[in-house]
Amino acid sequence: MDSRIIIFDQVSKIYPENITAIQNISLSIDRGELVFLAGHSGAGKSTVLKLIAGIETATHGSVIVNGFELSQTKLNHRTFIRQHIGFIFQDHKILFDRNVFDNVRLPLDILGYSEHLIKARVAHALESVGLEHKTHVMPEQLSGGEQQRLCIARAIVHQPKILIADEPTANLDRDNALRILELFKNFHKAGVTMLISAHDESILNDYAKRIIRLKQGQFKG
Amino acid sequence: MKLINAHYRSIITSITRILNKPFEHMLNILVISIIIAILSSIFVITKSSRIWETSNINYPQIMIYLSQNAKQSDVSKLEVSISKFNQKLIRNYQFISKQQGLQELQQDQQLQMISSDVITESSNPLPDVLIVNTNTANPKLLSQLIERIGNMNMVDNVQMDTNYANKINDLINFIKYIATFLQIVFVIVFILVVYNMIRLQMLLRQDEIIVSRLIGASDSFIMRPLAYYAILQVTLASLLAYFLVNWFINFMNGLFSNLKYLFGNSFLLTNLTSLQLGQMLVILIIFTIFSVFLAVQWVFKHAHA
Repeated sequence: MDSRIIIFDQVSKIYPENITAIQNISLSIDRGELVFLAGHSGAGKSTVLKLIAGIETATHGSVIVNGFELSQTKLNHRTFIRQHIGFIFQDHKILFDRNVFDNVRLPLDILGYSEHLIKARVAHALESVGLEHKTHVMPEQLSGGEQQRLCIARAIVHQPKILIADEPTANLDRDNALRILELFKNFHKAGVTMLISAHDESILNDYAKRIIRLKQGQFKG
Repeated sequence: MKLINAHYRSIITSITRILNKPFEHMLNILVISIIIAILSSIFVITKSSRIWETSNINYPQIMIYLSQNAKQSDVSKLEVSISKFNQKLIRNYQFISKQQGLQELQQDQQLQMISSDVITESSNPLPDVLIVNTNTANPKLLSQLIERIGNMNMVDNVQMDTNYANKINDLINFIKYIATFLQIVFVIVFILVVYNMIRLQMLLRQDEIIVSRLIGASDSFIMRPLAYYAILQVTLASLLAYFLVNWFINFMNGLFSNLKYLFGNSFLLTNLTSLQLGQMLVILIIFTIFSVFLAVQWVFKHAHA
């Protein structure tokens, strides 16, 4: 089995109106690796993460995730690949019409888990992020940090092979940000491949195993 | 097991969705039930017309003139052959012998002179005749029937009023075309209403759909609860439509029973049988699933989720 779980080969992404997000990027990430993607806003970090999750399609080059060449995979099939990825969105993408429990259970519903297993898995995920006492609370009653943790719980509940976090510490105070990074460290110890983007490098120094820096859609240094 | 689980959860979600906002959904159900009631009424009227048509419309008669030297045994053979024809083609037949024909001619006031002077019992030129009452106005079937009868032994001549047959056939076809056209129109209306209902539901739940897609939901995962939601609404609407049609049938039959004294022939609407009701529900559910599929594809195409 290939030790690399994510491979980028000469990947470019050009959005409509000729906006180049990333240009000729090649990288590979090993299974169980913890990688930080650093760079300023607009450097192309989110695009790299979206390409891995199959949310965007590369304009040039190939993106291989867990053995699947995404640019040659149909949109509908890409959703199945996403089932093995946990994605922590920058804007959380929480559903405000349902409580914490129902938000977290969504990936398990998609995978068709039984009610009994869902209850157990959701309880475990909420416990991991310290939200076990907020199970039946509506999301608008949660603080920013708690909403972020809710998003993390939803991303880890189905025990994905890859965990992608897009600016997970943005909009959080330092204490909350460090708490989130501590959580990620624990997931990494459990063997999950992690890719985390952040624009504030200072916070990463204590945790970074490998930092990839992006500037204007290209690797820097 | 996972699939059964997913279907079970979709059904529960759909029921909860309807129960959470009963008034909003009641309006949808009411609109759909009116469309189904119109569709069912057209079906009921067509079905009842067909029953009425068979007992009240005079289909063309076929006159079979037998050869002059036809004997009683030939007539019997011919009668046996005709009675073997499909009942959908032939309702009944009547034999008029040459002697009966002469008697009738002699009784006719206007033809009395000719019949008494020229024609006598010993020199009767009239042929034996078989009058066949048909059960169809279809010109193609009638001409095939005439050709077959014409080829039979001892048959001299076969006649039918083709003009009358064509008129009857045109009238029946006209009614059938109108009924079919109306049914097609209301099926299209039904599909569009369900399509729009699901499209609106998806737009209302756009956030949920986008998030679900982003975390790996397949098309079927998105479509399943919507399909059950639509099926549930259509089933409830069908139930309501059944009561509406029942009321309509009772009301119309009351009117027809009054008209019976004016026109003699009674026209009664007959209700749908359980089998027809079941078949109709199955067909509506197929159309519902088709509409849901179209709506889901439309939203996926435009939402790029």
